[in-house]
Amino acid sequence: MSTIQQDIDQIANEVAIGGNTKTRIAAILERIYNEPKPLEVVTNYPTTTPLKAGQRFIYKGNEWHYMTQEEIDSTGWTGLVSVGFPAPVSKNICAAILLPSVEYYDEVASINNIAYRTGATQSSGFAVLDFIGFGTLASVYKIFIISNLVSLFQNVKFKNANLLILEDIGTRVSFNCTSLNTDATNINDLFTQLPATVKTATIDVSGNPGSGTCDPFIATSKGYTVIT
Amino acid sequence: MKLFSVAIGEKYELEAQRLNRSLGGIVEVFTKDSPQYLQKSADPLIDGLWHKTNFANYIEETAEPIIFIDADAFTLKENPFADFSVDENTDFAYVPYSGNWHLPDTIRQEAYNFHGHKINSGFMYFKNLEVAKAICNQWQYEYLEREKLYNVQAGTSKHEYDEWALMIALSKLNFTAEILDKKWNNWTLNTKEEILTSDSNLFQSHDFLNIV
Repeated sequence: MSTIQQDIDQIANEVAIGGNTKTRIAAILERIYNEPKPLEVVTNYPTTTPLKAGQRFIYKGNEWHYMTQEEIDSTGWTGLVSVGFPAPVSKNICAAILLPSVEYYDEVASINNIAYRTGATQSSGFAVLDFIGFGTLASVYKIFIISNLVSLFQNVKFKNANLLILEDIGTRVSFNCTSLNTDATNINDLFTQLPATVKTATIDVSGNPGSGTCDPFIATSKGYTVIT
Repeated sequence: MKLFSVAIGEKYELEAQRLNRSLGGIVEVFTKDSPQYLQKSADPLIDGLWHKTNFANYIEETAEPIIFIDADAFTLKENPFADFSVDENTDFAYVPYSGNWHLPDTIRQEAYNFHGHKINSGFMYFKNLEVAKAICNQWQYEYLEREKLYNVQAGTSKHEYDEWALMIALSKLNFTAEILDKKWNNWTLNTKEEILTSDSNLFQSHDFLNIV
């Protein structure tokens, strides 16, 4: 790719522009090139687009990007999504439920027990609940996963639960994973990911296919109370 | 029946006012302004919970059964206790938590195994004041014993609240207990809509202070 100066020299040679004019044109072009360009605003739910990998855009007021392989790998989603997968840049907006191939499906587990989703199509595949989407995890003391949509999935897996810092407040458990349609293998994997705790932190995994056959000791040995 | 509650701190006092609005002012509430109040702990949560565990010792002599209700409880019914009854042999009644609980320590696991469920202390029936005092005397002692383990034993802190101490206390006493239906203390509802459409007699929530 030519430099701005090379472009100016070529134009100057073609139209016989001299000295100061060349300098002024160069300055104008440099200003234009360096001006921050507004990001494209996407109104419809974005889909995986490999050709746009690396590009950023605005969706529902937040900055998103079509992920490069490097970004996918650094997030820990290798093998889960393809190059060009659209996702929030900061990933501190909401928990990510990833479908195996199609779209980024936002489901928030809010400390206020209010959930919203930004929309996606239904899928019968597995879903991954990635806690990296909670952002400032040190301040998350209560997670309530809205289960009304997970019946769409065959199974729910968990990722980056090692980032969670949980603590019960009042009579409500700090981590409600009830009725997520998840099996014992995934529940045990969740328990394994969780960091050891010295706080009072209760995890409720009742109402799942794997509730009765999971191994609560994996979590209780690290200081958690578990409800199955 | 004599209705009693404990509300140590402004937030809890406001909640107790809601409780009394919903029940026609018949709940006796122990607060920091009560003559018998003495600070037990510099930590407001521990201080408030200890006074809850000791509540029966703040009640004047009465021959009536005692009902303890958490300050953040309320009813939406005109006469919620119209159909309340327990077996004549029952000394103590409560609503249990659901689910199978697995604890990180032996003390609480054994207390859970003794009862077979976790006990919710937000709504409790006591046959008479003598029973209430006997339970509270043991309860407040066990609560202070639990406090010694806070942040020492893994997964143990003041956020376990008062119920494990109650369960330990009851396991050392010989009272006849009865389980009550969830409608007597429905603490699991999260939204105003859920509460308004529920047929439960009592709810618990730190939200919706103006619902009544």
